[in-house]
Amino acid sequence: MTDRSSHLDEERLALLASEEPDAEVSAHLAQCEFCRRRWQEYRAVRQALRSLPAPPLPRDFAAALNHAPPLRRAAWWWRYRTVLRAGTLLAATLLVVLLSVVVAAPRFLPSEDRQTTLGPSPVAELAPAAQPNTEEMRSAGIASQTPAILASETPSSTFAAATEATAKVPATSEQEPVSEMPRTIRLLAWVGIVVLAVLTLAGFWFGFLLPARRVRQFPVVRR
Amino acid sequence: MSGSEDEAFLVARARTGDRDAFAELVRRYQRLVFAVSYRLLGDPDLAEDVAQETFIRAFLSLEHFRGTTMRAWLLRIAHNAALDQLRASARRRTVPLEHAGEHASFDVPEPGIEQAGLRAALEAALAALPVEQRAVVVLADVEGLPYEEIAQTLGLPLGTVKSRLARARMRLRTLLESDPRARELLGLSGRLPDREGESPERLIEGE
Repeated sequence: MTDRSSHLDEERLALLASEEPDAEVSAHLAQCEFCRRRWQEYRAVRQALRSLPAPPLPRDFAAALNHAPPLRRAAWWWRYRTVLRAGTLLAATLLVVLLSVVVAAPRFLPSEDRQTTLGPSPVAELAPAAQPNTEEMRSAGIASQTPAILASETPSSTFAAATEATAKVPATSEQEPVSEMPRTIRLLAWVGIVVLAVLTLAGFWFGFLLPARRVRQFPVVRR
Repeated sequence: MSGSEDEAFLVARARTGDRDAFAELVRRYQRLVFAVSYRLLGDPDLAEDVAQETFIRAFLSLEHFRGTTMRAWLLRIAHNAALDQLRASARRRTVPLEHAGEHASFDVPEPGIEQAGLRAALEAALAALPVEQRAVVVLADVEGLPYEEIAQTLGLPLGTVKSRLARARMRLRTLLESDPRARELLGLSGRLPDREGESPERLIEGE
């Protein structure tokens, strides 16, 4: 390093403009005129840059902020947009689930579950009148409750199914208070659906549309 | 109360929506933020927009401020906003950067540098640097920030900051050397007798 024929790397010399040279470098600079002069040039350039006058402030930015509209109050949806978005997605998911259960699912449930979900069937309503005449009840049960079964199954199994259905009729009509429960639940479910739909729409507006518009007007800080 | 404790207190108050606390932070750093924006953009009007945008962005995202100094954080926002402006200017082609230093001078008394010619030469040389080198040299040499804070501001490793700074200074020296006034005032010698025939850009140790 102290060999007069060798020189310091140019990048090293450039960095030394703002750093204190260590003993080894100092020894080299003392001996090598080229490196010393180049080092002094870098120091002169840096000193000139440090002496550049600061541009005059065009205005007081703090005062401008005081005249600005109340940004924090206006932008609550911006500050809580992540929570809003998560909540909106959750509400939308629950909405879909609830709608599926209330609207679509009963059609695919077995007839036994459907009876308890949808309330008493026409057969159950006919049941008290049909009870004295077992034969009439049997034919009414076959005609009104199992047309699909009639079309696809053999007469003997149809008869067995019809008998089974008829046997259940008194049990259903006996549980009259229980048949009120599904109506209450359905009412609650529809209220829930309406509430979730409103929440989803509001969340979409505040969590997605407003922030998207704001981003267009005012780009987000890259971090 | 020390400066950093005082600043932490102001930040905590500003986070609760206290405008006076945030205004105090703005007053502390507005000269620096505007000066850096101006040096990066070379245009006082654009720099004013960037500084204003910086403080609004900072106010709106104060909850994200952590793990660095307020100065580095504000400068980082200003740097990003200035880069956005440069990209927009490049698209509009309204401010050719290589001439930015020529029409962007301002009239102030010059206690530091008496030679207006040298100041103009320095500003023109700064404007001629690639923006990533200009950012480092403005923060390190014009504003005198330490390497660590520059690394935080630009989101770069320390080694990258140093190598960019070295390259920026090498380029600046070459640019100023080609200006007769600057060469004379700064005592830039050009090629030295014992290095004649070699590139002054690259001198490898141990030749």
